[in-house]
Amino acid sequence: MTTNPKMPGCLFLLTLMTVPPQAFASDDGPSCAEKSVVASAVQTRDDVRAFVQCAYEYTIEMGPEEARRAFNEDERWKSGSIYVFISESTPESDQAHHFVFPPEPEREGTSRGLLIDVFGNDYYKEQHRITSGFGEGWLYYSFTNFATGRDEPKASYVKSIDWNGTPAGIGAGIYLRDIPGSCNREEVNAAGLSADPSNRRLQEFVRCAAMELESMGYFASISLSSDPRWRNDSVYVFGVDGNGNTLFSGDPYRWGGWAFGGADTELTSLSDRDDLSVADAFGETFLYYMARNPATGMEQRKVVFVKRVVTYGLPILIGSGYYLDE
Amino acid sequence: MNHSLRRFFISIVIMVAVPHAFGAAEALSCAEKSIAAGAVRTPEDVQAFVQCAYEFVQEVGAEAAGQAFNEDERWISGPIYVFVAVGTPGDERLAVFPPAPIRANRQLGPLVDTFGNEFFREGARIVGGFGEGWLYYSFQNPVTGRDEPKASYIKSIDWDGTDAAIGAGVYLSDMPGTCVRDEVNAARLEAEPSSVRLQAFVRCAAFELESMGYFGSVVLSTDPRWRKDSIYLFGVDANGNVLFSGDPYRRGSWASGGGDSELTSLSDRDDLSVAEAFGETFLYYKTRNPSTGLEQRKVVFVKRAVTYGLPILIGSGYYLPDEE
Repeated sequence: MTTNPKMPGCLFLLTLMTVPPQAFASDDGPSCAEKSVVASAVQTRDDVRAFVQCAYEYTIEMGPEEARRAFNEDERWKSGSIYVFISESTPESDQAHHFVFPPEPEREGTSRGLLIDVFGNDYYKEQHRITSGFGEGWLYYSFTNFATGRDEPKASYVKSIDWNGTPAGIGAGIYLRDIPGSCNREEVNAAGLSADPSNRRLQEFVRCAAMELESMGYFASISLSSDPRWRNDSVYVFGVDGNGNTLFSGDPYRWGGWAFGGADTELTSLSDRDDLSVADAFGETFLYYMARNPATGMEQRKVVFVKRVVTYGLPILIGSGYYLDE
Repeated sequence: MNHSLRRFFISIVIMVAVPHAFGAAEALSCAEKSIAAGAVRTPEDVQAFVQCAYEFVQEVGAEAAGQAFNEDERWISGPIYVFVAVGTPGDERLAVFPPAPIRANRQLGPLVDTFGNEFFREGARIVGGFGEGWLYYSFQNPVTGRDEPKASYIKSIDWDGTDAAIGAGVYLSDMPGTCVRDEVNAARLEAEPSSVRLQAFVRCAAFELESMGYFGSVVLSTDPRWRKDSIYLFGVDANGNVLFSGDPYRRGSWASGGGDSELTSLSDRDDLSVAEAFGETFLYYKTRNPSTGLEQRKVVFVKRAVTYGLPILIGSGYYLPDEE
């Protein structure tokens, strides 16, 4: 996000929407007693919302002074790129004050002027529009990720709160690596998964590969099975059609299968279970089986993630996995 | 049910060596993420719920935990509950089964579902070989009474000196294998609007669009499943052109592919690029409610779908009552 002197427009329309805080979403947001997540455990957008709810309740219970201290200092509230922020909610977005901003505490109590991002978001205007008009909600923008130092897409949940008598928004956000606007080659790739395997990283890897397949259709087969981004040592991507035919695979043992569209796929499991139907019905599935690791030539336990995508009207199951016991 | 047990048992034995061999690095403790049964909605929630149940057993013991799993709201709410599976091949039982406690500790025999899953064998294979993991199967939803796809997370546990698996699962209404017309539809969203129900509505419509491509336009803009009173769907291309819309005020736009889309927001923000970049987005704005004719606040959910190689933003929303 960059500072920009452009003044917000449509103030008249904004003032029409200034009435009811807390006007929506109380139907489906759990309380902190029902769902509680600490900063280091925030991994999904649902986690962000629960985290913000807990921060909100903590502020109400303990008061602004203690909340500000805790949000700046305690691991419960601050970990890597995850933190709680509180800023003034005002239609004069170039004058909104930071009340809590753990990445740069020296900014607290000051205004940084207009914040306009690459999407054209006037951050404070959007925050005010949502907190004053809807009580709470999601903001999508580009902002500095203090863990990487880069501007990255950030999804934040903000909620209206009274901060020492001043209307404010309390929020937190997450930088996701597997949305269409991210999925960077340098961050999500086979080498990264191979070096530091985890279920979360595997999900990102397969979801990003799925987006390439959705966009390119069958033309993606070659890059997904051979590009070093998608294939490194034991990590590779495979694609299977609804009949179980291998459409592509980076597994060197299955190149024949890829060339001939053979029916013996990675999803032909040892059990009687119809893994194809399971993956097709559930959309995203983790599977667990023994398979030959192309990097070692040994049969090893493998954790696999499969995603169903529809490309040019046809469902394809795209998957990858990492081996245990390496 | 089926009696096809014990085949491939050898392969299970091969895999029994290393429980807890994966996931340890990324497993969150209950202190880090805690969730009550009534708040479980996603597979990630289920995994945290099972971890809390696992830790609760370590803390209070099997007997007290079993009682709590059967009785306390913390552990049972609608279709969400904790189960514990014990036994050896041929003598499998559910030591804890809150939907029907009377069936607990009875020999059930092989449970085989429509996917060919043998529940106990798959469970034994996963906890024996991998320590913990996901199990996908079809099982009776105690709320609806129907067999429905269920995603359960299970984890190896010592249950009063016996090797067992503790788990819980969720029935999701917006997967390719669900998205049932009777459950996910405009009438239900109109009657009980919520962001969770809105997400399911749009995700299911997106599946239809992905499968049918542009042929889905007419169905999605006119079928009563997708259009009822104030609820309708719209689809916008990457340039902001309305490809289809169930909004009666925009039928002209739909016919002529006009450029004035629902995503042309009041602000300077480029909502199209935001929705395109984030994949799934909630938007909030005021617009005319077709069932009242009034400008009202609207909560909208937009999903990026790719159909025949082209990204389309499909969305819908519900209106909020304006305060006096």
